Amino acid sequence: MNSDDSESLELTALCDALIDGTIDDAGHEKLARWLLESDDARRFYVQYMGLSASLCHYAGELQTEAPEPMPAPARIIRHPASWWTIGTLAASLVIFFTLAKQWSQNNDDGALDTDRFVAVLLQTKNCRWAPGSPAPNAGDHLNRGQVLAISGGLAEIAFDCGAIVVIEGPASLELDSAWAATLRRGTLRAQVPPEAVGFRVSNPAVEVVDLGTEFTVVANEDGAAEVLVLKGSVETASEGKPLVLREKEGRRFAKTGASDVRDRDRKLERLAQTLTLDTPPAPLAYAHWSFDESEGDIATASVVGMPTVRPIAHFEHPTQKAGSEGRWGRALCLDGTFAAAAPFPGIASDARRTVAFWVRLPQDAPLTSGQTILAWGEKGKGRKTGNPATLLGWNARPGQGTVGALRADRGPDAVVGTTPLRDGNWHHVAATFVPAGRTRKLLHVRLYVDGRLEATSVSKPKRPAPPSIVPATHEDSPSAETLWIGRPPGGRVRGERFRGEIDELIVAGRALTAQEIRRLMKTNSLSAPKEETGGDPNPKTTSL
Amino acid sequence: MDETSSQSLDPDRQKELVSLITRHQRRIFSYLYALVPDRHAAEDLLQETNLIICEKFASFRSGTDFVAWACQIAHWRVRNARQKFARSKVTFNQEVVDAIAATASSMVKELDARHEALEHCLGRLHPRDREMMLTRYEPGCGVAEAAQRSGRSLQAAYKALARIRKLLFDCVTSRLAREGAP
Repeated sequence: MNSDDSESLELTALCDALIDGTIDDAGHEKLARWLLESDDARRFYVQYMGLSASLCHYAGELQTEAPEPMPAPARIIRHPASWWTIGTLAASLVIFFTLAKQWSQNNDDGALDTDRFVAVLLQTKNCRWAPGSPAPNAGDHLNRGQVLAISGGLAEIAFDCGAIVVIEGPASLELDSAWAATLRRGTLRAQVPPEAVGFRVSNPAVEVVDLGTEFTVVANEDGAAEVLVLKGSVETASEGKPLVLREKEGRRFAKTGASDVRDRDRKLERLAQTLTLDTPPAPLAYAHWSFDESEGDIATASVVGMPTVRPIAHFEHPTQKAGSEGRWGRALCLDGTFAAAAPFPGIASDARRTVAFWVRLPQDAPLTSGQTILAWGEKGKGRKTGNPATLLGWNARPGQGTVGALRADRGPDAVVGTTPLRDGNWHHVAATFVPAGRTRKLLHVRLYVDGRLEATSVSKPKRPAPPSIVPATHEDSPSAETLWIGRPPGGRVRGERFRGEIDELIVAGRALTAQEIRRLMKTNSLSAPKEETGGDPNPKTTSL
Repeated sequence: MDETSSQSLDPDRQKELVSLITRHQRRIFSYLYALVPDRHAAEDLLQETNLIICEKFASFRSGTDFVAWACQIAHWRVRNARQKFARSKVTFNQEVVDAIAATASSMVKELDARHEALEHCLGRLHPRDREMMLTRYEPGCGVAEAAQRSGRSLQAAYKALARIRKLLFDCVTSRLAREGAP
């Protein structure tokens, strides 16, 4: 059949309409009759549908390929990705369901809670957990709905929004969300930075909404609560009546109404005293690219506590590296034609991690330009390993959130922030990742922009294949062990690379608290104040 | 469903099953797509077919034509699933489906050759057209996504995609003709 004769052109048009879902009843009927009556038409149809099926394959393959050659030391291993595009998902699921039913039951993480982690236990002092209460350790993440009950001592909690709360036993605090808590009894002291304005503490007697301040709530057994403001102001609401309390003011709220706080000045004085807690901050491993090099085809990182990380980021086209004035020193300027890659062993695994950097997007960045700022893992490989690639960039899909806002993609899941980044200004962005669930197959993602928590999500990968039958995992692949800067992971990447500037890129080995992220934003350093320092005082810097 | 049937396979047969089922996924999908030209429906059917392949693998004789055997299962699966598509235009009536199945079964090698040639032809496309076509077929995307990314209206995107498909089809056909392929 000649594909240019009128009959073929009509058949082609019908096939196109069928493929694209636009065929009408008359066309469908005509095509069916044609296929039934003509061998040639049937052969043409099978060829044309085969073309479409192959395009499905090639389009899927582009999401799973191993990398193109990058400058040394990355060695290229081309995986047989082509048979694992459609097949990976199907075969893994089939094998999973048929061979490992029992295993799958053991692997069930239960129902998803869309915002499970809301805070971290920072430190304690002489803390005695109440009988029957969970006894988390410093550094443990705390779930929404979790009740912390202490019979004595102090416990300091960092909410994901950035509010820092210390409870003094005996006390009982329920964590309602990253932005809210209910104090059932005891004394609570809250420090709320500007980024966390709106943090709320509730009690049967009163609700306290922070307006950027430091305040205390003391909840008594009888249901009454005293609110004292140490700095700034708060808005209280009791029985529907709002009241703003300012610095050094206090109010007692009870079922019988509001009244003055007895011995207010003495209580304020006591509450103003600095608390010293026991636990030093956890040591922090990280790699930090300052992008301060003014020339050359590599960028070198300072690495602390990550002995396997080779802190060199290579640029795709050595002569095209360009620097610009950054937020701190110089910055990496990407013009949409090139990107960089840094070998980063372990980056593909789901581990506690923070990625933070400064970014400046041009105001006129088109929606069709590259949006991926950072990426790791291998796109599409999650279908067989249950551990898909992660991409951090800006959102270009109007239907999925604010256009230009920070966006994190992980397999089919995406989370989008709220602040448009396409304004020609520098913004500090950070994303934290915390694996969780009984089998640690959930991944909690937090997005911070300019120090403020903007979005949270829980990603649950597709079920992985059982251990005995799983093919080589993507952790084996060099492309998966690579941190990509300015482009998605994998081999052939269609379209532009990211266009914009990046500065002070940090990959840290745990989920930083909002407080640490703010400090990093303000000081460009992860080092805690000297009395808190627990990490390596001498960062290792290497170069080729 | 006998959930234990493939579990009873010895380790070598399990490896053979995994190897065959993964190596030939694209061929089985292509066959299914001709019978049910809707990507999502075809992918669902592929998974169901895979399931049956696992269940029945004990009856497959090593060294015989796995693709032909798998396509028979796929065809049977489509016949059973047709009632699901009865009121839609996803597929054709049984008589037409059977005729397509017979033709497609005889064209497996030719489709293989066309698939290989397509990679070359994709490489010869204008990057803008290649980007658009691959976006159209990217998992999770479609014509609307391709239209948005390419800055076209939806109607213009349909036309452009049809034009590019025709270019690719003709490129593949002429390449195979030059090579004297089947």
